[in-house]
Amino acid sequence: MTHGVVVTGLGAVTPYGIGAQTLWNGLLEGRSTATRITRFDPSGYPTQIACEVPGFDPFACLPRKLVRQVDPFAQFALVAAREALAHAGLAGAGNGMRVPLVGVDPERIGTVISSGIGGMREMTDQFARLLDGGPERVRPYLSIALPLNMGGGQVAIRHGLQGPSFSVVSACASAGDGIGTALDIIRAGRADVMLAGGAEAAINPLTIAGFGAAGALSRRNDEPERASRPFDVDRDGFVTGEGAAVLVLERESHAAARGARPLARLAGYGVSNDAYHAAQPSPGGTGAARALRLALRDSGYDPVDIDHCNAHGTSTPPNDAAESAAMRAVFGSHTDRIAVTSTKSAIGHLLGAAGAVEAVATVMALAEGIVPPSLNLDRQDPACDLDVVRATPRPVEMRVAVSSSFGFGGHNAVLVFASPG
Amino acid sequence: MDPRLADLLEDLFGIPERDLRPGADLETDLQLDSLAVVELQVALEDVTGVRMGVDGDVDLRTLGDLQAAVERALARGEPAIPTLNLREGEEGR
Repeated sequence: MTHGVVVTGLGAVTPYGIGAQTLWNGLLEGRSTATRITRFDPSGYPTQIACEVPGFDPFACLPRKLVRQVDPFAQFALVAAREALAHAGLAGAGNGMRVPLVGVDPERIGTVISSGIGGMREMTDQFARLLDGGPERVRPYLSIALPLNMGGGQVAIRHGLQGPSFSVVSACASAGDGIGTALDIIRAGRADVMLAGGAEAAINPLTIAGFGAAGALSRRNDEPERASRPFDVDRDGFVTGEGAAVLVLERESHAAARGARPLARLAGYGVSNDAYHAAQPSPGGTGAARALRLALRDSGYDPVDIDHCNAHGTSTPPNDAAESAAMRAVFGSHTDRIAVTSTKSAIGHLLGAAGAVEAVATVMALAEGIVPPSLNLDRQDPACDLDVVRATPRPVEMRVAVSSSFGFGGHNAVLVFASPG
Repeated sequence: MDPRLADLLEDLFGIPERDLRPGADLETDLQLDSLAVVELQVALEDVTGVRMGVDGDVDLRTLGDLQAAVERALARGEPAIPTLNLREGEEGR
């Protein structure tokens, strides 16, 4: 028998700012966060736009000593995790190096907090120092700031989480697969509570140059706020975003015993690989379709039960078409009754954190019965035959929703969330 | 104490000036482990241009020990290869 797993806390740092509620308010407002890049001077780059966390001051959120030993991606993870734990009623007071853990046995709570790229600023900064002055110029904190697991690792240390703790990496599906893996860990009885999510801070000259050279990024530099346009006929690539999101996943009986209110049920997880191409989806979205079907089967729900889909919707020509084909293949005529949105239209593609931020948005949509608009949908591509919510938020009676994430490397991750009732 | 050392202890580790007593134990009073000490050395080299950690076998227990080691290194004056801190278009964050 499968243990029920619920969501009892949410935390986020996004291009709308700090906080899950801040994210949700921004999505309902339908405001684009894309701007000219300020993290470095993008002059001369084919792509000069991104979605940045505005005015983020890590020293205002975290102790100085901690800020100095982590990369920005881990700073985002730490802030999001603290919010999520506080929301779940599992964090004591204080904002120091250590935050007291309450309400759960420390050995029975862990983390799967992912990153797709990890400490990119640490790597590029220290590599420059190496080239300029040799190995003795490289700082020792690189050894703890660079690795992809250190967002989750530092969260576990700060909050005293002694249970299973590691990162799951599958490019743009990392956080989706991470949340699914955390679900499996609770089901397997290895933990009662898991912090699951992702963090990414990859608005960096090297990543923007490389992903740009691959043709993956939008070049609409003169109109950044119109660049991310999932499912639109004029889409030309994604806009890179940064930030983090963390969900507190909890065994249903454990939450009930301590009187914690579930925000949603995490009903299922489906995972597959296209086994086709490193950067292109399998034709007709067959790999994604398999993940959708597996997620439904795992959740016990039928295709006709799905009311809402938070799509991967990157605004690249290949993904949006393949994803639409996958949806049609799985849901048939019921596809027309699934209200679709792409969070990436508003906050860009958070890469290894995307699946987590979008899971937060999915949980909030279920809780409030509203689907935020997918921005910049001026002319929907006929090849993207979905009911995409446009212009204004749409109230939808919903009980079950899916959140999809597909990554370079052929990775497909689908999560099924349901109302707690 | 060399103000550059005091500044770095505050900037890197958030240690306020009032906690900088020579007798303070690096590990138990100031929470500076061996990794932190090496991090500090690299930062001191950036700021002074002088090679630190030349007598690597000396056991540093207290802040006074650390300060004395820094003074010895400065007196020896071996150059550390400096890293250019300012580059076109790169903002320090």
